[in-house]
Amino acid sequence: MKKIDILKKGLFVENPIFILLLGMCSSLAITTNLTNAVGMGMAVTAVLIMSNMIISLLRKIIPNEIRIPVFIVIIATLVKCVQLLMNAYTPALYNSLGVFIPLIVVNCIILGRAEAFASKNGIFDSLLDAIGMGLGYTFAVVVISFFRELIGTGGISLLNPFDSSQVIFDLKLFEEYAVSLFTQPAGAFITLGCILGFVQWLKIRKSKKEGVSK
Amino acid sequence: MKITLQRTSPNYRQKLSTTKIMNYLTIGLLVIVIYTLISPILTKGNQGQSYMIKALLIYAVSIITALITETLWAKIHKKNILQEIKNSFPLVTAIILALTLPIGTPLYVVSIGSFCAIFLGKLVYGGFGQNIFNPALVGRVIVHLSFGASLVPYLSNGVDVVSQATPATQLVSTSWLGGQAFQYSLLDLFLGNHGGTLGETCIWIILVLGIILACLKVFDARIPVAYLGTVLILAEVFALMNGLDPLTYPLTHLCIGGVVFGAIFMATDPVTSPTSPLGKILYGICLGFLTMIIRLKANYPEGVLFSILIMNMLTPLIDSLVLGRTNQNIVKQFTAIIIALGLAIGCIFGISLSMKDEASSMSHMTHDYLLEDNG
Amino acid sequence: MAKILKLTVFLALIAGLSGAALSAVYNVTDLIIQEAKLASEKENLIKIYDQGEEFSEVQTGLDDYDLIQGCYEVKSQGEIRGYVYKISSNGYGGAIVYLIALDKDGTYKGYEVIDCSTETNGFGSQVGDEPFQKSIVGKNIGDSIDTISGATISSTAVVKGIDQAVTHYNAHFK
Repeated sequence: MKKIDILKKGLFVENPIFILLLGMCSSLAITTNLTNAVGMGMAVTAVLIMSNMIISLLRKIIPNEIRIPVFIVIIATLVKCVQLLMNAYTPALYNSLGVFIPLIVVNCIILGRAEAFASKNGIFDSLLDAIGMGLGYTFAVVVISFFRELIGTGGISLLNPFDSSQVIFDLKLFEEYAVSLFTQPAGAFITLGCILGFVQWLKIRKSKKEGVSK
Repeated sequence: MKITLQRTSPNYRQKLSTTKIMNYLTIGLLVIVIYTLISPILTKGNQGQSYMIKALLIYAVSIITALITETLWAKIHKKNILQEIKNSFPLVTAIILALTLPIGTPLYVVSIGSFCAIFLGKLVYGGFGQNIFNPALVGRVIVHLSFGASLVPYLSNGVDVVSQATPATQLVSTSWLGGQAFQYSLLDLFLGNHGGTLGETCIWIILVLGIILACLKVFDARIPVAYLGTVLILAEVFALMNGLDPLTYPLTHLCIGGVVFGAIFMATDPVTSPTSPLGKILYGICLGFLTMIIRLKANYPEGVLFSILIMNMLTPLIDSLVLGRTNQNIVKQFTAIIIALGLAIGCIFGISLSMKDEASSMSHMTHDYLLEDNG
Repeated sequence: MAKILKLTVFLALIAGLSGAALSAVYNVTDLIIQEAKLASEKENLIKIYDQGEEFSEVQTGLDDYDLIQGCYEVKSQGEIRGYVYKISSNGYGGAIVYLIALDKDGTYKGYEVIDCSTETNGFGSQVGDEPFQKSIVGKNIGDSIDTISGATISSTAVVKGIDQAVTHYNAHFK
């Protein structure tokens, strides 16, 4: 397929959270506010790009029988490095993401793309795929956290992940009408469910249109 | 030539259609609504006017939001709006939700609760008859978890701010042991001269309505009887273990926290409760057990709300366990009921033992503290 | 047989290389992490004891007190002003981490919650709110602290931790 298609498919058509339904655990847990979502998205994209490139580089020499353990060792090392770097340079983000940074290792998006794409394609293609999937993941968690933060706390704010005192924007709209359930796990499920329903409706509408035009 | 005859068994028609059942239910609820509107005037005189107006507003907001939600849903799905509303009975859900909210609830909270009840409790599952959970309770629990602090049983801008705790919270603060701190007599509770949610206070009206509706076969009487019976039995066990009055204590438990309202109007929802008679009795027993456990162990007066929701989740399981003809194997059915009751009583026995130990160890601790201070 | 040997060697090689890369990154970042940790601890202590100038960690007799995570002696102008305890107590959903400052004049000088994110929003999280803080600061050491109605488990955990701090203080510093 064309190079640009590889990049684009990670965003909408094969969005890892809304269509492939991978990486649900982290997407439900860290989407309590927009800052966390953006930070996590960046971390996952970084790990994804590096792991895809390294695995694509080594794909010819990794024996087939032990490919899964090798992938996991590589991914775990990368995640640990990212964790140490985050602890040193973005401590506020590190504290609020907490245990979900090491959980990037078991985020199925990373292992899934390594297995499905990077181990079978060239380096440049794997890079494009990683960028696409990472951006798709970031887009998805930003959407979920937008609704959760807006309905749950009545405002939206974004802080610079690298320097938590720098506020990029901070809107407070309706603090006393906020349904605080949406900042808790139950609200995460409800939000995700409604968004998935909406995405399915878009898919059905699109296929109906294509069916009619055919 | 082979002739095959289609055997369609004689169809047993029930006297009441779904519409009629829901209509009877609506009328019963309206009786309670009218009582809640009139009683402030009767008991408080002129000051009761603000209570009556607020109650009226709560009902109005709840019903209007429910109707708007249904209309929007029907419009999006391009269906006949009036037909949908007639078949979906949003009025019952809206009124039940309003009756579970205390009078001090802000109106935007009522509206959010009503929207969530209809949308997340009923429509996303496929409409009337397809829901897993009781829709009014879904709305109530979302409101409870999000706006718990604003659900107060008094009007904050009223002339007399009755900030006395409701009987349920008073009893909770004494670890369910009653005694001096609990200031309500049984008659008070029965007649409903106290704060609480809108619909739960007037026990005698709810009981009378329940008996009438059960006689009209609007709902199966097994569920409320099993539920309330279990609550009475378990409260009796707790009373006997802790030396409380065995006659009035179980009845006190029955009259607070909305158990009677929940048992008659919310637990009996035919969509979310089991279909077989044995299933219904087991459902009622488990409900009573869960309510008592949440009250005693979690020290939480809202036991009814969560226990009904949990049992709604387990209804398909109960239905699949009680398969087949249920007018045979009477002995097996009775054994199941006795085992369930036995387990429930055993657990409450254990809980009251542990609470007794805790109470005596607490008094030990304060004793030691006193000694230390002096020394 | 040779196949399995080859696979094992390959895996070991990958693991070894990963370990090397990891330790390199660790060496670079460890210094920065330790510095940041010290700075944030100091920030919390200054917040709670605004007249304190010197904070030195005290280790005596902390092993018997499972809730006390650290104890700091506060000195100002050479004199001991009081002690700050860092306590981690199990509340409703997890550990509540907070600082309680005991002044030499026999009152609670400060109470600051570092982490109560495990408690239920609106109910247990009230242990971090101002009314509860006001009910502690200024009281005499050893006075009973009222628990919050509706947040029994969370506030009881906090009170339990404070009790341990008071016992340690009475045993060692009084």
